Amino acid sequence: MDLSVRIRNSVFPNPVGVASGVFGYAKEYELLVPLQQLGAIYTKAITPKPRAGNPAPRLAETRWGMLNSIGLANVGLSAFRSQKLPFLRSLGVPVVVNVAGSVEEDYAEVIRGLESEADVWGYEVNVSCPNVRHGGQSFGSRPEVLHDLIRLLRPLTDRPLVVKLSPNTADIAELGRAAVAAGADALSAINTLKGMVIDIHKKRPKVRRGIAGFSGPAVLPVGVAAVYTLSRAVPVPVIGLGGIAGWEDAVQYLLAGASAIQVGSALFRDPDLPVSILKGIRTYAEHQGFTQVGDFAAALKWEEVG
Amino acid sequence: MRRFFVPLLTSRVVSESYTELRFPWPGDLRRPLPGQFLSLGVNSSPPVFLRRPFSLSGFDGSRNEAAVMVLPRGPASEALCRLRPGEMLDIIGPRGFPFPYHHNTHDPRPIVLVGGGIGVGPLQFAAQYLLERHEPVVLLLGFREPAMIPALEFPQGARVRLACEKAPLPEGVHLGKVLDLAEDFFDREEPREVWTCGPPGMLHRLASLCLARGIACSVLMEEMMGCAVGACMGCAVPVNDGRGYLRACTEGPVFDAAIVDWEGLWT
Ligand SMILES: Cc1cc2nc3c(=O)[nH]c(=O)nc-3n(C[C@H](O)[C@H](O)[C@H](O)COP(=O)(O)OP(=O)(O)OC[C@H]3O[C@@H](n4cnc5c(N)ncnc54)[C@H](O)[C@@H]3O)c2cc1C
Ligand SMILES: Cc1cc2nc3c(=O)[nH]c(=O)nc-3n(C[C@H](O)[C@H](O)[C@H](O)COP(=O)(O)O)c2cc1C
Ligand code: FES
Repeated sequence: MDLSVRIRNSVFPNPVGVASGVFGYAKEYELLVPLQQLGAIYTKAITPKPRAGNPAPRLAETRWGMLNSIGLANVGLSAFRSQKLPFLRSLGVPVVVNVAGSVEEDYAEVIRGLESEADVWGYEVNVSCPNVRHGGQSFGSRPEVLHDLIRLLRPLTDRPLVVKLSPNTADIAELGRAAVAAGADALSAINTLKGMVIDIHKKRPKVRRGIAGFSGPAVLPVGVAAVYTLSRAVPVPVIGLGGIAGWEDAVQYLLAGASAIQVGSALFRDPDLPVSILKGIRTYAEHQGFTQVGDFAAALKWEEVG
Repeated sequence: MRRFFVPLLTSRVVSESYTELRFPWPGDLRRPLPGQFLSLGVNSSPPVFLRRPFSLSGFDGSRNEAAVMVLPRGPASEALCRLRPGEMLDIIGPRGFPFPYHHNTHDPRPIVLVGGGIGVGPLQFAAQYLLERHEPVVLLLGFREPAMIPALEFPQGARVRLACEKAPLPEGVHLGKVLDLAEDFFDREEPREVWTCGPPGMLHRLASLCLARGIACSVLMEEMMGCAVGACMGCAVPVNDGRGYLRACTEGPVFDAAIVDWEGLWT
């Protein structure tokens, strides 16, 4: 069975990656996850300058999920290159750098700064972070703005450009089409949803910024629907994530049309998930007689009704 | 640090509000130190999503057994209190920097441990650890209700004083707050340093008290954690030394009280 996934000129050895923001720069999970077995590592969002992030507290638990308001806290481009990339590179696993910024030029600066670095597999353009006031989601909610951003970035690299979309939008298919028309090689969905939890005793939100990013098992159906919709709207691979907490969830994404998946916040609870999910996908595929990842999407027994 | 699964050995109710869980410590792991914590994956009803951090409350090197002291506050901690011997614990640890202990047999001044609430476990471990090293220790603990006061067995040599905010009080317990005990102690004796863990309001007031008197104070901060391994930046503690935020799970959970930006904590 061949579970590799091709995007543009590059290949993931298997479809199970770890999502941006939950895995830091991979070193943090060195003692808990067999890193070499990962299909891809999506780094924490990188911005041109270091970012301290949002005020505390930044996290809250919800029913079957969580809120985060990290605010893209990261070491910045320069320290990423000198301090984080050498370890990531040593793993021999595809490293997808999640790129974020406040203005178009921020995204361009990060990509330009990494083009000379060997062993960056590709870029995941984060236009869907709900936790920053400027940029982030504003690029990911207006198709024409997204189109202009991707058109600016496309000539900067021959590496795969994955555009990560937000579910906080009226028409995700339109956004996906705009990104692909401008040169995106793949789409990933979903980033977090906007959410808020109020502490009824303190009569204030549990997270300092109030509205934060909602993720975890509770959002699984939102992600599956987004991937189903996108995979029918665009001719490029779609990478599914949101709420995956077991191999069955990952298989739902693959059946919905995803070519690969990412494990997000459920990894906090169970760092063995990437390995157990890959095993589950393999066993399921064997039982179904699938020989490649594409067989999953083709196997969905359903036709839309009026 | 690694993830391990071990059976619960004993569950001991030490007061109306504390249950101590003992379990075997894997032989290949470094011995845990006071102030370090474990991240537990707990099956509860209703279920919880994130793992939960708990400080180590003791370590028995001769039997290679560790313990945590659980204060029930919600689904996960209540489920832990109901866990029966033989049931499995899902543990990631040990994590975090311990209390800053420097062996110094020439300094007769005591290390003063002050706390309450969830601080009882880690401070009990600190007291045990220091006494094993023949350090002078003073333990000051505060409780809201008399029924909360735990039956702790401290080795010979600890000077223990308890405070409780409500009567009727057992013999020798001070009616009032643990801060009263601390202030009273500082008036009479000079501590080498203070280690503390407990409710945020208490930590802040104790930290201010120590700062004003020039006493070094280390605080074990309770912060919401996501990954508990330094990856998510969720457990940010604001600091005033130019570093912005530090991670409670990685640079903490024990911090020098002088660098914590208490106003930024939103308590
Ligand atoms: C470094 C550290 C050491 C701790 N040591 C102890 C200890 O020795 N004994 C003890 O009883 N408790 C300790 N706690 C607190 C313990 O983690 C919480 O009581 C527990 O998570 C509550 O979970 P719950 O499901 O029972 O309650 P919930 O109702 O879910 O939460 C109650 C409160 O617990 C805290 N909490 C919930 N989830 C988390 C999380 N993922 N990370 C951090 N805090 C959370 C929040 O303040 C919340 O308001 C410690 C916390 C930290 C950060
Ligand atoms: C703590 C945390 C930090 C995150 N940081 C980023 C980030 O820097 N860039 C990004 O594109 N997505 C980020 N995300 C979103 C996740 O990558 C993912 O899209 C989202 O959590 C949904 O997946 P899940 O439900 O499996 O967690 C973050 C999520 C969490 C929980
Ligand atoms: S809890 Fe994730 S960095 Fe501390």
